[in-house]
Amino acid sequence: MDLEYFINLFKILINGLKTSLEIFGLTIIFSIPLGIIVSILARSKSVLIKEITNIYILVMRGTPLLLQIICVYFAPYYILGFTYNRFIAVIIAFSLNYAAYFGEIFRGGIESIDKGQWEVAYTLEFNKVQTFFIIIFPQAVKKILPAISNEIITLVRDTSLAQVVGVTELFSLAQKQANYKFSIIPLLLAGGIYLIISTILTIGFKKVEKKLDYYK
Amino acid sequence: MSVLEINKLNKSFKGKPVLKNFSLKIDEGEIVAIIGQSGIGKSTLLRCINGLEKIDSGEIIICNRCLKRKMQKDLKLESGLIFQDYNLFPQYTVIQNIILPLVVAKKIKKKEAVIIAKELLEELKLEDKELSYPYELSGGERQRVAIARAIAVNPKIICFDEPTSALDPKLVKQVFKIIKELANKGKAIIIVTHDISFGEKIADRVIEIK
Repeated sequence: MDLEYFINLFKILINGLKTSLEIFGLTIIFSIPLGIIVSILARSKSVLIKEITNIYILVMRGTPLLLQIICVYFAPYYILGFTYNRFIAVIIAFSLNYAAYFGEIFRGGIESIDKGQWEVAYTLEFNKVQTFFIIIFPQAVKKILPAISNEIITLVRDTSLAQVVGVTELFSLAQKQANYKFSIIPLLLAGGIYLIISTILTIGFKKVEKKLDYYK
Repeated sequence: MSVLEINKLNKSFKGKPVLKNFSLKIDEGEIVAIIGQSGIGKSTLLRCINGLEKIDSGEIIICNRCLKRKMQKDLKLESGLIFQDYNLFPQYTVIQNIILPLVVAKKIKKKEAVIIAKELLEELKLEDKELSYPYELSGGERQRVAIARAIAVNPKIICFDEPTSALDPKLVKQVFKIIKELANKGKAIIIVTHDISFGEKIADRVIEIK
């Protein structure tokens, strides 16, 4: 095992890391707005909308993400007879899954805000959208930030599940290298990369939490 | 001139009547205190006037416009409510709390809103607190910010829900003065209070809900 081996291995893993970060970034971009919508629908006055949303949340949280990725990729083939890009399937599955978790976190945060805040905004003639985005949501974000950061750090690790439909990301490349060289080093190196990303995110979230600490 | 007229107002919760055939007429510059036991419907009355509760029957006429079961959008800002616990927006500074309704609801330009807010803060002796956050203020200061926020949009009627409940005697005197000044400017004031002596001292009329 020489330095050249490590440099080459690192180069290979960096390629996988790019895909992992793409999955991570795109999932965040799609699942957070979707989560906000889920949290609003989960509080809908319509029983039908509320129940459909609750069933969606139950299915997403009650079944393995691995199975969801497989279903999203293979279901169109078995039902409609067509296949599509596996990377897109992974993004769809991840976004739907994480939107359910984020939705529940947002819902909890929104419901923890004093009813008086909605009422005073109403008397001051804010409409519902203004009340939500200007008054309620910023307060909710502060309360839910630790839970959101947990989910986002979990997502870093979950990106390794994308390999189930053949998307070559960081961990699948590490596994291939480990099998090829009969060595655990690639796996440990991949683990180290996940740890570094998680550490960066943890520090980042702590900073954001501190920044939001300007009011009580 | 009458700015608020309530005729045979009925409101119940889950079939239990709270306000029964309640009627009231208030003129400009008049202060009316509503007293009564806890849970009798005093705060509910203020909530009905401010559109936070739908009324079962009767009518509320604000500035000659009738509010039946539901509050019309253009009537909301004719009446301001100062909540018992003030409900300031914690993430915004004092001046932002006052500016927001002006900019968001009344669509006033931010520059003009700042001028209005600064004038009010000066009037209510809060000029040195404009950049403070609500948690940094005392109870009396919070209440004055809530008053400033409510009157910034220039309502004709100002409702106070238990304005003295969280204040020490010195601050009660201060609130007394502010309310009197608002009435002198022609605002119709409705005060819901369990503090009968405060109600009797400040109000032109005291109405007991039984």
